Formats: sequence, structure tokens, C-alpha cells
Amino acid sequence: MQSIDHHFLDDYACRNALRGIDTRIKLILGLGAILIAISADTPYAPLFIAIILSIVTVFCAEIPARLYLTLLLIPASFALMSVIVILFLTGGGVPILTIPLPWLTFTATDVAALNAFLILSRAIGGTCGLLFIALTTPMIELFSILRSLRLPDEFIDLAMLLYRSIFVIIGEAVAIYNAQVMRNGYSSFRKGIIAISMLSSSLFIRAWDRGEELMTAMDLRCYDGKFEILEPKASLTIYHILPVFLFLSLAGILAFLPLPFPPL
Amino acid sequence: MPAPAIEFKDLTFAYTGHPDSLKNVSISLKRGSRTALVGPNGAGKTTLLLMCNGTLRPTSGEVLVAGESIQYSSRQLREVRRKVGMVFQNSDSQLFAPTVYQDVAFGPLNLGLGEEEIRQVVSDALFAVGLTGYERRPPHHLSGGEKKRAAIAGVLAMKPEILIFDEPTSSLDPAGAAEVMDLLEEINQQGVTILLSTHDVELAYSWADDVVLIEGGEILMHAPPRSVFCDADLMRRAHLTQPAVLSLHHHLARRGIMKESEPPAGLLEMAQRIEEMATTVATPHAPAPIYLIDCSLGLDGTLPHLMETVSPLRIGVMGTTAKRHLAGAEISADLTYGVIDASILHALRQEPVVIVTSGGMIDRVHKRIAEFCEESTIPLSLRPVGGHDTAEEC
Amino acid sequence: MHIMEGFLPSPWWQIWVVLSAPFVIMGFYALRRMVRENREALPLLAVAGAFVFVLSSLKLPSVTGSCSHPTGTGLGSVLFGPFIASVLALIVLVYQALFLAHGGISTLGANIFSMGIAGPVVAYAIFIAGKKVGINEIVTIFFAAACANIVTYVVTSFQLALAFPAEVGGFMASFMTFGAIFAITQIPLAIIEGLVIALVFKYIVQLKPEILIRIGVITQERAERLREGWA
Repeated sequence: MQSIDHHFLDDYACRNALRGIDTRIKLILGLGAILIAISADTPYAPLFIAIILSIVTVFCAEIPARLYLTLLLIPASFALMSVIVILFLTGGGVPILTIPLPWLTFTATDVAALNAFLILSRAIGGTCGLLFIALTTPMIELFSILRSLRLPDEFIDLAMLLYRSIFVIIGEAVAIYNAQVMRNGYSSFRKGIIAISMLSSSLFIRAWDRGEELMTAMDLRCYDGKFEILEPKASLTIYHILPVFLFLSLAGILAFLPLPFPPL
Repeated sequence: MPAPAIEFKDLTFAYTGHPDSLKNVSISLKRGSRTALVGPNGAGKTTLLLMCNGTLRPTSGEVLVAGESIQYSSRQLREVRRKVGMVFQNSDSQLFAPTVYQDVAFGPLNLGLGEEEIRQVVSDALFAVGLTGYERRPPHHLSGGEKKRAAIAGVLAMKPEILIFDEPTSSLDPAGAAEVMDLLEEINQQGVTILLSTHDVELAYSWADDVVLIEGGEILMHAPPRSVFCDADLMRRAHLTQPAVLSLHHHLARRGIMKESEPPAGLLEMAQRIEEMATTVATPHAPAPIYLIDCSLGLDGTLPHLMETVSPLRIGVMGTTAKRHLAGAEISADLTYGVIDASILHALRQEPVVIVTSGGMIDRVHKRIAEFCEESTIPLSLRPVGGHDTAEEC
Repeated sequence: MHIMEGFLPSPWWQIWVVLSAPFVIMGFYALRRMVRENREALPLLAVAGAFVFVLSSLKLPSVTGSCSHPTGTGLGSVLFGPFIASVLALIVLVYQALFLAHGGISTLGANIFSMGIAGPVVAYAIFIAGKKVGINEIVTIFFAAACANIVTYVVTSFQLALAFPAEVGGFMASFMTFGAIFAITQIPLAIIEGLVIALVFKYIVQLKPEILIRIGVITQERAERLREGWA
């Protein structure tokens, strides 16, 4: 079993070169990109979005390229399996590939292939949008946005306490895991199951103890049901708004222009 | 006489289903005092500390804060917890908000302060602990020392009269520990009573006015450090070792080199005694001067000029304001903890020192140097720079 | 199983948001009620949710060698009930998308429905039924967690089939195919997760049953009987 990765994208977001920029415009860019990508009828817009956002993420936000490529590959197995199903099931048009098996014949048609390509491009475009948000917007800046969405206070407080608790618990998880590895806890499948169960139960108990300490810690400072929200940094300039507006307009036009696909 | 900050009257406590953790504890802590609660692991230190702000309730006996007995009603407990701030041993247990600002603002917000007030109070608290600029950082991006300071800021923001620390320097590296102790000294200067638990005997010996020795839930002794740490039997019973300076004194006394009856208060006094006894004393040179700069008037001119004219010059800094000024001027200090004693030691080695500080600490410097001159009859020269004070020659 | 970002086209991603919303809103009310009645609820839910997140980021040992993460929401449901579990799932899913690039924002609706509603409801139902019938809790938990996992993946296949029906055979053929292809990884994962969660429950009963007794998952006598049985 590989080691526990306790580095989250949030850490990169806290250090990225675009962190000083107003959170709202970054969200508009990322969410707008995802929305346009999944609504497009042809792959041009999603691929345009993917390329531009990747460039912005790697060069403007200064995220390491190798890391970015690794992240793009995370959903690869899901994408691959699903697209294969779509390729062979959604038909229409001329068959281009036939796989005869004893009990069933799988046929991929040209329309299905185009469809699969479209879906894949949307997924890539959407993923680049998600990664843009994940890598340029630290979670701590998003809590104030949650409040402005009028979500219930208890929910936001829960989200904030949960956020902080993750880092404390993951530290414990890494410590326990390392202790187990040093004693060959994961040297076989069966041992691995037992080891991870012990890890999880220890983690649960420690997490629970932390919960009780948390209550004491909050009471010690006269907890009265209130949590402070960090004020959003407002630093919106035309140099931020204009490029985002231009990009989203271009992508939107590309998405809904009746361009021929495949290009002849 | 004002009511004691904290008083325990015949306090007994047991966790449900366990034997007594605290047995008939009766102690009283003076306002403005610096008390160290010392004892082995499992002695009941943390339990006793948790009594002070009503987190734990005694099985019998009472706890009085500023003269008033704790009633354990939720309204009164809030008042007690505003007056008595506590910093845990593990800062991770105490920092629960996503950012430093939100965490420090938690206390004031729940005490009902308004937005503007909260901003001011948080800013002051972060400044006091040297974490200005850290507002938007999540706690997991802070080092151990920074986390501890953030936890302290969270408590300071509530403007407590009494501060309680459970093992303040455990898990800190020596530099971090020195910073925290310096901070505690500064806070105490402002009138806050401080009670800390530790098993670091060096820390207790050098810092505390009073030591409470606890073992097996019982108070063994409540006295100034010298009385407590010199009793070797008591030390053994409490599973503690003597501070190095006392141990040294003890051995030298046994060999007939020093007098048993007067244990030294610290390194400086020990060095003085040994020097007095040295048979070959080189022709006594006059000690180097100790300069004093009040940085609340600004550093431009005074310190750089001094650095040019006097060389080599050691720079000592006391207090957060002074540390910020030095950091702003990009000058690094040589002495950051126990500055006055260390300066005297250097001066006695003919190495000139300048102490940069401000506020109430200036008087401390004058006082301590005057004390030393009187006890040792050595003519130290304290020279305020850039001010209207004339130099003091002892 | 998360549906990745960008995979669900219109109108499906919107439909699942609309379908999930009422359940989550009820979860908000349940949360408010719980926090009002018991002020300790907030920090304890927070650490439980953080635990679920960390659990879901662990890689389980797998037979197929592929990357497999537990969902964890089944356990959350057994502890706190399906409504609160859906609220925890919402937070955990958002954090998974933003911190681990698992799942997506447009697919939140669909993923909440499969992982935050369907799975927890099934887990809770099995747990309550098992308790009524008197089956050993560990066995019940195994089935609760494993079935929650399977139901999650089945619902995901359902969602994908609705969005991408086959040309021949329509929705059903698509559903069968997606189901079959994901079964290869999901069925072993479900069994392993069931095993792991059952063992976790067992260890908690052995080490610190007070936690479970306090939430009301298990009674004092039952915990003691179980421990005697293992001794």
C-alpha cells in the first residue's frame, strides 16, 4: 500500500501565484468554464477551455506542470471505462469497429465515436475548470462565499471545524501508518486489511477524543454559538475582469456556434 | 490586602470510578505573581489547572477566583473563564478555526464584542505575540512555536486577569521556548497573574517567584524556588532533579569550597561567587558599560550610531515592541532571553552590551542593575542612550 | 464511486441537484435541531466528518490492484442517521473535489444522491433491521457498509445509463453494461470496505465502547455481551 498522501491541493492553493486575486472572479472563471464545457454541443469549446485554463494554471498560478498532469490523470480510469461503454453502446451511423465475442458482438459506430470524443472533451474541459478552482482558491477564502449564499450558519460552522479537524486527524493517520509500516503491517493482503482496520479504529477514537477536547477548548473561550468568518479580500480590477469576461464569451460562442463536427 | 488571584480551599477531586487525583489541596496565589506548579507525570498538575477555570468541579472543597467562589452556573462560569485564560499543552487541541484571525477572534466574538472592537483586540493580541501578518494563515501552516503563540493570542484577546499554562515549553525547541518565556514575562509585567505547570526544573527555578510542588495529588511544598529545590529528599520524592546551578553549588559546598547555606539564584550569581573565590584574580578591570535604549522613541540614530562607535557591541532585546523595531531595522539581536543577567555577565567580561527595550522593562533594568551593584560592590555603569537620563554609575 | 467533473451533460446534472436538494435541506434542519438540543453535537460531528474524509482518502488493499477508496458515508449513517449523514457527505464531497480532485462540482448533485443519500439510507435501514432482528452487530455492520457501497455504485451506473442510453436496448442495456463493467472493481471493494468497517466497529467496542454507547448506536449491556463473546 502506498503511503498516505497528506498533501492536499489546498496547500498548493494557499501558495499559488494567483492567491491574491479576488476569490469571486476566480470562481466565476472556473465555474463558468465548467458550465460552458458541459453544455457545449461540439468539442471545440471544451478543448479550448482545457487548453487556456491549463496554461493559466501552470504559467500564471505557477503550479508545477508535472503535478498538474498527474492531477489530470486522477479520473482517468473512470473516464476510460465509461467512455468505452459509451463507444460501444450509443450507436447510430456506420460501424467502424466490431469485436465479436462468443456471447455478444460489440460494435462501435462512427457516430458513437464522435459522441464518445465529445463526452471525453467535456470531461477534460470540466476537469481543467475544477483543477483551476482547486489550485488557485484556498478553502479558507471560500467560507465567506458560503455565507453569502445564505447557507445555514451551523452548516458553515460545521464545515469550518471539519476543515481544521482534517489536518489534525491526517497527521495522526500518517503517524499511525508509519508505525505500522515499520512493523511490516502491510506485507500481505490479510495483514493489510487488519492493519488498516486498526488504523481506522485508532483514528476514530482519537478523532472522537479530539472532539471532546474541542468542546472544552470552545467552552474555555466562552463559546456562545458564534464563529467568526474571514472577510473576503476584495481586489478586483479591470485587468482581472476583462480577460475573464473575454475568455468566457469566446468559450460560450464556440460552444453554441453551429460548427461542423467532425470538421470536414 | 487584595484578594488572592486564585485560592484552593481543601480541594479534593476524583475522576468517576478512580481514586482521588487531588487530596486536600489548599493553596493561595497572590495577584500578579509568577507561580510554577512542578511535579512528576500523573501528579495531578493538569487536573489542578483544570480546576482554575471551572472545567473540572471538585468533589469537595472550593475554588475561589479573585476572592469569589466558583458557583458552576453557566453564567458565572463564563465570567470565570473570561478572567482566567488557559493555554493547553497541545496547541492543536486549542486551535480549531480555519485561520489564525478567526481563531483569535473567537473569544472576543463570543464575549459579545462588536466588529470594530474585535478587529482591534485581535490585532493587539497578534502584535503582542509577534504574529502580525499571520491573520489569513491556516493553523496547519504554522510551526510548533507559532501555533503556541497563536493559542496564547486567542486567550490574550479576552484580556484575562489570570493566565494558566499547561507545560508551556514542552514540544518547543529552545529558541521557541525562550520566546514564549519572554512573552510570559512581558505579560506578567502588565499585571497578569501567571500559573504554569512544568517538569522543567530549570525553567521553574529561573522564572518563578513561587513554586508549588505536587506529587500524588498532594501539595508537598509552596515556597520560593530556592527553598523548594534545595531540599534533596523532596526532589527525590517528586521524581525531579535539581537545577544544574543548585546541583553545582551543592557539590562545591560538600567539598568545602562554598557555603551550603546560600544557594545561588542563578547563573550570574554563581559566576560572581566563583569569581570572588578565585585565588588568582587578574587585576580587576573595570566592567564594560551597559547601554540602554528606549526604543519607544524610535531607533534611528541611536542604535546604528552606537554600533559604529562601540565595537564589538552585543545587542540584547527585551519585549515584543523592541523585537519589532529591531526586525524593522534589520538588526539581529545576540541576547533574547534573560537579557539583563546575560548583559551583566558580558559586562563583567569587559564586553559592552546595549539593551533595547521599552515601557515598564526599563525600570526593571535599572532596578536589577542597582541590586547587583549593591550586592556585589562591583561598579557597573548603566548608560541610557539618546535620552535625558544621566548615566548611572554604581 | 464518484462521477468525475464534466461527465454528466445537461439536463442530467441539474436533475440530480434538484433530486438531492430536498434531502439535504432536511439534513440542514436535522443539523440545526441536533445542535440546538446538544451543544456538544457540533464539534463531535466535525471530527466524525473529518474522520470520514480521511478514511475516504486511504487506499484500501485491493485484489485487482486498482486504486480503491472507501466511501465512509455508510459508517456516518449508522452513527448519526441518514439525514445528518447527507449533510456530512455534502461537505466531504466538496472537500474531496477541491482537495483530492475526486468527483466534481457539477456532479455534486449526482454524487450526493448516490453516496450521500442512497448509500446511507440503505446502511441505516440494514443496521436498524439487524438490531431489531437481533443479529450480531458486527455482522450487521458488515452488510450495512458493503451494501451501502454496492448501492452507491448501482445508483451511479443508473445515473450514467440515464444520461447515456444505448442505441439498442436503451436505458436497460446501458445500465447493465455500466453495472457489469464497474462491478469488476466495485464488488471486491464493497466486500473489503464491509470487512474493514466491521472490524473498525469491533475494535471500537473493544477499546472504547463509551463512544458508541453515548451516541446510542449500542447499549452498555450489548457492548459487554459482545466483549465477553470475544474474550
